[in-house]
Amino acid sequence: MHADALHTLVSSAIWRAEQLDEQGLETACSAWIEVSKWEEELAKIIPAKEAEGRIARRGAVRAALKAKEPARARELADRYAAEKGVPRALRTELRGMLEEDAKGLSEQFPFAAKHHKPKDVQMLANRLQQGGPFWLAA
Amino acid sequence: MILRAALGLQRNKHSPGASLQMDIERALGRCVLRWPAANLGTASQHDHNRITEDGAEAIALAVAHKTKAWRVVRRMQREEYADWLLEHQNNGARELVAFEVSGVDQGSITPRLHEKLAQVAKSVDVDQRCAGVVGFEQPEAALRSVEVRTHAR
Repeated sequence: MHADALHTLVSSAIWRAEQLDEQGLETACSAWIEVSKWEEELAKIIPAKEAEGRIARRGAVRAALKAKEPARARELADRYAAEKGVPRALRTELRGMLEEDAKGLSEQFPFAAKHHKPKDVQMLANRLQQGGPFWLAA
Repeated sequence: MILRAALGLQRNKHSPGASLQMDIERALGRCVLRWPAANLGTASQHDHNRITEDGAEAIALAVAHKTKAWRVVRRMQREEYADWLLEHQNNGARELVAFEVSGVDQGSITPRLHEKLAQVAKSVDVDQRCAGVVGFEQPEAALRSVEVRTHAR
């Protein structure tokens, strides 16, 4: 798809997600996933050396976090950070977003944070999401 | 956005063809503002603040295009410190503009303009940063740019 079309789609998706967010509706999460996917599509066709490519990469990761999909956010951040020629500033920004989200998780669940690192909790959540609960019994 | 601009203007007793006072980079001017008339009876179906904010975006984007020939590239997430990414040609080179917009239903727009300039100044990866504030009481629109900086990243 052409960048102009993707820009139009991501614009309306952001607008929808913001409106749902403001109303505190649960459907905001699925709206943010849609934003993340359009941003990801933009990142596929615009390299990180271009400003719009960097905006799209930050947008894809950030929208995944807003959608409460930390596994997707981490996967995207790792993929973008591993790209050839990616600016150091972008790597730092992506890592900062993940750290900020993990910090928020610790503040939300202070007792659990005393015993577990956010990264470990997210890894456990990812395993449950991918394999269901039965691996616990293995 | 256009519907909400219409509702914002009409609830302030303006009608299509109203004179819009413009302050573009401190240069004052006026233009005629036309819009498809809206049914004010439907205003209660919209959030009051969204009428002001979305309406301001419609007017500010129109003013930015008319006075600076800026075009919309895309909407940005609020963590980019701007609502819109715009583009224009400067001596044949494409330049990107971060454009932060806000609306004021009643009262002065000056404090909001300063607030939005400080916000958009934090935007990265663009050639220019600009704040646009629309006041519905008069009606008026102000566009002001932060000093030009080049970001080599």
